[in-house]
Amino acid sequence: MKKTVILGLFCCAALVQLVVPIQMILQHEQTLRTGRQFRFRTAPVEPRDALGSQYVVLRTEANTASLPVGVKAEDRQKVYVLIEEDKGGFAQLTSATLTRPQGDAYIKAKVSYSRGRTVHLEMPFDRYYINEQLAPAAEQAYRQHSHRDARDAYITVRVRSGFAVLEDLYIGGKPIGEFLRETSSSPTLSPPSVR
Amino acid sequence: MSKKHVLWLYQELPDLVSRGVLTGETAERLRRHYGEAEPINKRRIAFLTFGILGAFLVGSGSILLLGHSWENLSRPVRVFLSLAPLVIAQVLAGWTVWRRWESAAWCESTAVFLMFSIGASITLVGQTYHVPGDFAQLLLIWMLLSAPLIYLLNTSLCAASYLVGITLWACTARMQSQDALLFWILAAVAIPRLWMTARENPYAIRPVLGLWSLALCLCVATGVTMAHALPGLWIIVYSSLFAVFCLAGSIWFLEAPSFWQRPLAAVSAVGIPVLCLMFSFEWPWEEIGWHHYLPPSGYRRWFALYDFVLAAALTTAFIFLLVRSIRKLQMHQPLFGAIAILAVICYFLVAADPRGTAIARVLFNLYLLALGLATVVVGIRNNHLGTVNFGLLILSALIVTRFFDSDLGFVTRGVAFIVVGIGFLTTNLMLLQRTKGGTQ
Repeated sequence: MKKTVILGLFCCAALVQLVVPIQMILQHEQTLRTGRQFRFRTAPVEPRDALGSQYVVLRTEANTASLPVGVKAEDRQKVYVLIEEDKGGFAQLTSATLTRPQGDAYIKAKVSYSRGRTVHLEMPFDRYYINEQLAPAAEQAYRQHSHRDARDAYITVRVRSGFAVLEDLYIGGKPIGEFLRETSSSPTLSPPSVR
Repeated sequence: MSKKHVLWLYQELPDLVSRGVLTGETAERLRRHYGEAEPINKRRIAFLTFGILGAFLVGSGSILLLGHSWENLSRPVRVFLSLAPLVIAQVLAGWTVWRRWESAAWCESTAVFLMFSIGASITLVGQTYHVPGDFAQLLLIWMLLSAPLIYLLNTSLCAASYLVGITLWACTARMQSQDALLFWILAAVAIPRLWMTARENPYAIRPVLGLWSLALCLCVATGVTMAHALPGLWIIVYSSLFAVFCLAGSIWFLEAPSFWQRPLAAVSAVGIPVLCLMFSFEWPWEEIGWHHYLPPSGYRRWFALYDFVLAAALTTAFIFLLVRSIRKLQMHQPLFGAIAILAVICYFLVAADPRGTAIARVLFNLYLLALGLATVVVGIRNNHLGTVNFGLLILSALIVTRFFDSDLGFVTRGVAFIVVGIGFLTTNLMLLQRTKGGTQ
């Protein structure tokens, strides 16, 4: 094969190799800029699940939804989940459908498993990446503030056409980065202990 | 004869001619018979090895450096830095295609660097946007984007890494309760490349590397991709797979100068005794056959059919290779391959009547004994200490396992181990004496 042909084919392959991450970037950026913001209250994770060395493992209190009567979903099937905000402004999942709903308050998620009409979902935001040096402190803060007696940890998620992008993790009303900076610089400010 | 031995012979020829052992004409005829043997270019191999190692280290190091100070960077900077390694690697690989396409070292090292950069870029972008962890999807995208490099940069290391990557994908997909049949289509993409390199010189480092990765990945992927709807069908599938490896290795790679240059034969030589040892226990034969058929649930219905197609294809391939090679091979090679026939007979025997388990176990014990003895005999006949010890290892494994799962006392077991040990030492000593006698 001629060298120019190989180089031409290589350029095509290189273009495709670039398109994939660029497309990922564009989709996420567009959602972060124009998507509707929802706040999800976080829930504690089992210590055995919190194995990520470079991220905080996340779980949200809202992670189940009801299917309409007569509709069944297989495990790992993609469903559309409708979101509503409660009185405190936190997101609640109401129902799941197999077809794309109207409006902008819904997310695409995979079914983890079903119990009757209730589907337990694999939420499309299960980790918050952070520097591995900060990860243990962040994980500890997350665990303490997601405890049922504290409950002041939440995540903000941007949603656009069902595509959800995790924006930030908040602990005690502050973004995790700011929270960790303050707790590490001020000896008087320490994370609350678990009661 | 290996290149190393031919080179030694060529060095000896002038001396042999001057001493009158050979005539000049005979020496020339020997040269014509063995053809040209270029000395191994150690500098080239070193350049190739260090080039690949360098590319791997530079790729990994830059990703670690990026990750270290990630928190202090803004999102656009992170995005830029995520794409930077990929673009740099692409420019380098593009330059290699244009200017250094004939250089194996440049092609292999830039292709490896680019392959790692693709994975790194996707991972770093994923981290920037907190993309949920779907390792199977990441691996699949990564391998699909890397596949063209196998051909465009003429690289065997990429082909080997690609095979490992798709095998890892198949394992991850099955762990997530997905079927992994796509593995076979993905693997078929790399096979022509391996065949092309093996056609030039099957014993060179690049095709050998590719074949090793193919053989090992097939050992894993064959089981991983099965639906396991018909219990115990894996017994036929794996027996046939190793039998095919054994015969294919013996037919097409018979003249390999060393053991590591015969990946198919090497993998089967280890795999067949291990399988036999497993089949000599009761657990593989428990609740197998059509009476225990489990229709697949959750996966696609036709997924179960794949197991039957795989078993039929491997058994047919085995019969084809056996018919083709039976006259040319030495005694022990078809004997190793016979595991497929024995597995099929025993499977149907036990599936029809579970009481056949005892017969199947006895047959595999006897077969393993025959394998061990045949290997020892071949080793002694060829004066090859490694083969003799391998045969003794098979016999020892059989004896040790049988003694551990029987109710014999410690004294009897102790005596048996001592006898096996003495057997090892005596055979080795005898063979060493014989070799020494032969060389004197």
